[in-house]
Amino acid sequence: MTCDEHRTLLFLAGELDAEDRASFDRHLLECEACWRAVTEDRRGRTLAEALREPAPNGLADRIRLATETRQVGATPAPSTVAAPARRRWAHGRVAVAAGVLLVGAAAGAGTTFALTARSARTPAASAAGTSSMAATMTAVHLGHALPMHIDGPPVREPTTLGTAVSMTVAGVQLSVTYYRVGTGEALVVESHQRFAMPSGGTPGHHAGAWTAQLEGLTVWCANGTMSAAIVTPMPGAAADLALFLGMSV
Amino acid sequence: VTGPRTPAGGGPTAEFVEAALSHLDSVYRLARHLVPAGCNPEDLVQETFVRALDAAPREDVRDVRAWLLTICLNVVRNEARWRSRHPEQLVGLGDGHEFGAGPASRSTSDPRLATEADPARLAELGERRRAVGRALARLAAPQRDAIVLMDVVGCTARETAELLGCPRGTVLASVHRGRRRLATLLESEGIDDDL
Repeated sequence: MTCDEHRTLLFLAGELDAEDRASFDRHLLECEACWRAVTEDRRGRTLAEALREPAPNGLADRIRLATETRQVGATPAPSTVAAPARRRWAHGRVAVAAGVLLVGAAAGAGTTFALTARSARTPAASAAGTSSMAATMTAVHLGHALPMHIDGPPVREPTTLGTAVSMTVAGVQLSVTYYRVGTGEALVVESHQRFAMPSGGTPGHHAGAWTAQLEGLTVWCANGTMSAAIVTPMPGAAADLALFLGMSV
Repeated sequence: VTGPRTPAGGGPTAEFVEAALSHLDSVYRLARHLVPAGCNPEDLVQETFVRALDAAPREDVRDVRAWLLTICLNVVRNEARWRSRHPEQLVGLGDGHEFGAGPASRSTSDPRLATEADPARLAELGERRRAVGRALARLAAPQRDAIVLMDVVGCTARETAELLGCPRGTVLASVHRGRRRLATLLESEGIDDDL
């Protein structure tokens, strides 16, 4: 038998018939070149298979949310639609939602919380001529309710759980951090873009700041070069966390 | 499988979204290893699903995974093209992505990797993946594409040929030469297939 890459390929693909296979097996014993081709192929395949990693935690939720956001933004009233800007990754709508799956690696108690912030159009933002990059959280909905209280003693001061999760939602980059505060918990959503105040919100003492109650959650927001919003089911936790973070609201 | 719209006239049904998401790992693996340098694969995966789910109601999709992988390949190639045309806009984007530099919490918090709980072993696995990823990036594009689709994503040679738009024999030859090169490159780094 002569050396023939085509035959080697068929052998590796398991497509030689019994007779050809037996013949190739014998050939392998006496041909260094073909033996090497086969062993290197198998080694290379095993090495490549080491790259079979699962998708990162939270990516599925991020996609669900992005899909949902597009549906919400799909039929806005014409007057509130910004001209579709040619931006990469930007499904630029006035509204944006933050959704994230946070894995709280609490000591001894790994807990998974899924927080979904639903979005809706914000006429106020577009009427005011806010850029299409303006990120507006208008309604927050918990996919799985954050418990009001956590078993165990209250923490003395706000403590982060896990690391900040970065995500791009509707073209807006967000960073979300999960905190334990007292006996409750809160999320801090940060962005380089401003969070527009939803209708029913109350302007804060500082320029651009506002607070609001959205679907049973308290949202405190400070806008600036870096904007941050605290979202929590416990009003007291928002105040404590704002104080701890030095956020002027 | 077709993706009917929800009664409210919005996007695809929740069932269709979940059916598509059952192929998330496949799409992620493709994006992660064919992504242009400096680009975050998660953004490309999100873009893939958003495009797919937008189009779903208008398409008659028979093989959801192949359909998603086709869209992902297009997204990856468009991104590579965009980057080659607009290099000036890429300075300081800060979304660089290194092989194996995913979220630190991933490997330990992922239940699918629970059997790999030994930290030393996890570190070793991570180091091996980074080395293989670097070697993979050095292969010629046809070889890399074939290896990613067949060995990393898990497509058959026929599926790979359809996705890449080339004959099946070409795929078998590309994947074979690519594997050999990968083995040789890594051997010179002292990394073998002994896991």
